[in-house]
Amino acid sequence: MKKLLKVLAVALFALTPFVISSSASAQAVCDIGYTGPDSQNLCRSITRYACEVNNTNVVNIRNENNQVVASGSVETSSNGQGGSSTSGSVTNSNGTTFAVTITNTGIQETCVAVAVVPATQPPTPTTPVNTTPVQPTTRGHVAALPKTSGSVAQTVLYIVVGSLAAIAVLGVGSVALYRYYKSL
Amino acid sequence: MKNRSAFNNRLTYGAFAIINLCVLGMFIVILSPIPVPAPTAPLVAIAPKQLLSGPEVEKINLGIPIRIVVPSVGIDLPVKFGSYNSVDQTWTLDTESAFYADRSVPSNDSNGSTLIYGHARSGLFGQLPAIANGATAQVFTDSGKVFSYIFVSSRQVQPDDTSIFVNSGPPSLALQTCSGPFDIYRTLVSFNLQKVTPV
Repeated sequence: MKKLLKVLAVALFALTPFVISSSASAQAVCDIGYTGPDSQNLCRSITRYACEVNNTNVVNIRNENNQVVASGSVETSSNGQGGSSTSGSVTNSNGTTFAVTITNTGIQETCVAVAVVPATQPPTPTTPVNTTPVQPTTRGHVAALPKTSGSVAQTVLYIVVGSLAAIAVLGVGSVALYRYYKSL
Repeated sequence: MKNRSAFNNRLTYGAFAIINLCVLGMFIVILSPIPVPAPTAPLVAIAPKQLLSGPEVEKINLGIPIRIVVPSVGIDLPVKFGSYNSVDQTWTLDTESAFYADRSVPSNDSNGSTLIYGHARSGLFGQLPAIANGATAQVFTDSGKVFSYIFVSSRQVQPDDTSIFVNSGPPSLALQTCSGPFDIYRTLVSFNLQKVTPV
């Protein structure tokens, strides 16, 4: 009976380290942008856990999930009706799950790190919309440009000086012409 | 002696006649309704604006002009809202500010020509015809944006030439004032959009 008790005591002591002392979980989401023609999206999820116990265990989990999808190219020709064509949309799933358990049997603690990265939902395909051109504040037919005249004084001065100069020159010129023909 | 005097008289009268004809010709040229082309800057190639980026429509920057600055000719004026009266075919105008023609597109980085006009007077747009290559203009808008433009060309047109009111083409700015003898022409100074920045 004593021997049996000793065996049970040893077994109980040996199982004690498996008590979970800490846990961690995280979620990361990376958005996917434009998925139309010639689009490029890179979704990278990096999760690092450092689990430190008495004897310093460091666990780095690096999970890279690179996926490439491509939609088919579209070509149109001889399309007399001016119709349009588009390529189909493509999606992929980049979800991942990993679990790491560290057990330090020499001590009585255990770290458990679990990370789940959900799959990123692709955005709803959006049909490009033509931009409406900017329009005038007020619409309507315009018959003339603004009359942005100079100063009234300047205009009057133009008229007076111009008229005097014209009268003088034309008068002298007329007399000159008259005398010229008379002298012939 | 008499013949020599007669010759001198003919020479004098002939000279006066030639001067007279020259002056008449000058007036005919000045008053003729043929627009005089002003110096034109070389066209600057501007890449067409990408209106669409990805699936989302790019937001267009626009705003009603509230201030115009053309440093090279000393213009820095508030801009008021200018409306057109289709009955008497006149535009809102005063002697204190410039005006944004509401029949033109607001300042924007998408399309069309924005027209701002002002009197050809000192302190307003009087120095506008003296603008030279390399000149820039900034239009401050009520949306808190500054639209920067660079001078492209200057031309004189008839008062009834309303082709400036176009809503298509690259975004541009046109400054207008009167010119010519007795203000018989309209000078249009055109700029191309360079950039849009916050105030």
